[in-house]
Amino acid sequence: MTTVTSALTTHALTRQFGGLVAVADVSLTIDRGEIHGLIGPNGAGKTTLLNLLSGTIPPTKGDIFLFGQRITGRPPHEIARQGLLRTFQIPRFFGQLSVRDNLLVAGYALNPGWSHRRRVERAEALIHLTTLERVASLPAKQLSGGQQALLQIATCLMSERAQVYLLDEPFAGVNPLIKDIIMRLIREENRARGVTFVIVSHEMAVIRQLTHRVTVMGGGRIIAQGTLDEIARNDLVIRSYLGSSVKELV
Amino acid sequence: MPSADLFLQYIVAGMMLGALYTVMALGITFIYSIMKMINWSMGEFYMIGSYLQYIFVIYVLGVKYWYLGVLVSAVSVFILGCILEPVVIRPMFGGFVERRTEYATVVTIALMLALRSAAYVLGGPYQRNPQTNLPRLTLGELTIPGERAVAFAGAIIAIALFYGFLRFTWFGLALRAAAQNRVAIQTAGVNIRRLDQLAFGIGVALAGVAGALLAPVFLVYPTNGAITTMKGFEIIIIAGLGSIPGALLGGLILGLVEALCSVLLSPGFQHAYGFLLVLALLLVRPYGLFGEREREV
Repeated sequence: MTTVTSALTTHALTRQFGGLVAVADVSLTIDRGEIHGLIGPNGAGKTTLLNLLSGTIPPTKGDIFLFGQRITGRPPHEIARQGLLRTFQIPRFFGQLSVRDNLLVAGYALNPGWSHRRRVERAEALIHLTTLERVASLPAKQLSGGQQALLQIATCLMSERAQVYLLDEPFAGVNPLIKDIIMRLIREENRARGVTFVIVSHEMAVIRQLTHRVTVMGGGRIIAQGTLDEIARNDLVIRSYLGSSVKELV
Repeated sequence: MPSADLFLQYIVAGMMLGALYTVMALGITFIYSIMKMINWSMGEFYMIGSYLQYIFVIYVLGVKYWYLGVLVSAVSVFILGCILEPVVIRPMFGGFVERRTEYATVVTIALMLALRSAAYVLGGPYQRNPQTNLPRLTLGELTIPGERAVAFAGAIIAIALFYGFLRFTWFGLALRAAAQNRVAIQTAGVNIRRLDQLAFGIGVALAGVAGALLAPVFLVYPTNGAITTMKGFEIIIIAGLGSIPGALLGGLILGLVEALCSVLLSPGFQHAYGFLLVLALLLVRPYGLFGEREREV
């Protein structure tokens, strides 16, 4: 049922909040080593889908498989340790801890076998990669929005074992310089370690540059799948999300 | 006007008790920081700590080793907290109900009544006194009962150990992180249920330490934790819920206010002065000295 080449698979995944069906019958396969875009209008169910995949909320019905192993209903920390990490649209971090300590928390939890020194070295390397050196000792709540986005991604990268990253709007409100750094990090992790990414974003230019395939959601359902060029020719997608100006983009 | 010696004596006594109240306040605020739940049964863990101290000193260790009793009582209360948390508190956090912290808070009220009733059933309503072999301490003109001086020293050690644990250990780092964001700590791979269990155990162990240290001062009976718990909550209102530095300063302020008012006005209203301070503070700074203003949207 679940092929070995798939990193993440869902079968008829559904989540209801009272009478509202936020995610309806979503069956999705993300290939190993793929950078996958998840797009759609606001309220389409993209963030709810990421919440389901990461275990932040349980599904009403349906199943989730990570590299063929069923993870449906498992708590978020177990899913994280199994290799699926995520960022949040509204950054979630530890505001009163320093940037360095934020990284070390994840370093300890995700790499229990590592020595303290190795964790510190990894944290320092990521601080350098994300150009957060100047703010590394500051409480994280003092960072700018773009720096907070970088910190979230750096926190995920503290794990060397993680194979799937779900990034929720990593480019929202981020200046072009930081956007470039985030794109570079995604490409490098994907190329060097074959890491799979699912990226939710409204930035079609970035989605076009980064992703191999795109899934479009609307009303909690998948309305189209394919390369950005393919979905940009889909009338339903143009009507419900992209608008006619997409033709200038693709 | 009281003499300078009496004045000083009251201030020293007030500060000493303030340190013990601070230990209680730290326990309450620590559990709240992690679990977002007020533990109304803190006084009962104080009571258990004092009973354990009594049992260890009178029946097991002897008066000579009273200090070991404090250690054993604290560890025992920690273990009891770690056992009770998954049994009575955690089920409230399971499932996907709304307002789970409110349910958990109500459960701690039930726990308070259950533990207090158990103490009446097992030990009766009698006041018991675990002896100590401590002489009175003389500092210049001042004489301080040995039990109080030792309780103060014990409180300082407990606070220092608690701070060191939070500041310099991995669990301390994880607990500080969990206090700031319960979702992010889980998606970073940390088991929040384990942290809740640990936090509850440590929080009630602080109450247990206070109970064991104050057992020879305020004696041992089923409701002996009520006053100290009330002081703990007063400190939290003064400091602001969730603030550890605030709890330290709040304990000092409460101890001093009680002592100064007792010596300048009347010692008969000692417990009322703290309440007046709390009321005054609520009027001008309702979120406490160190608390942050917040509103839900």
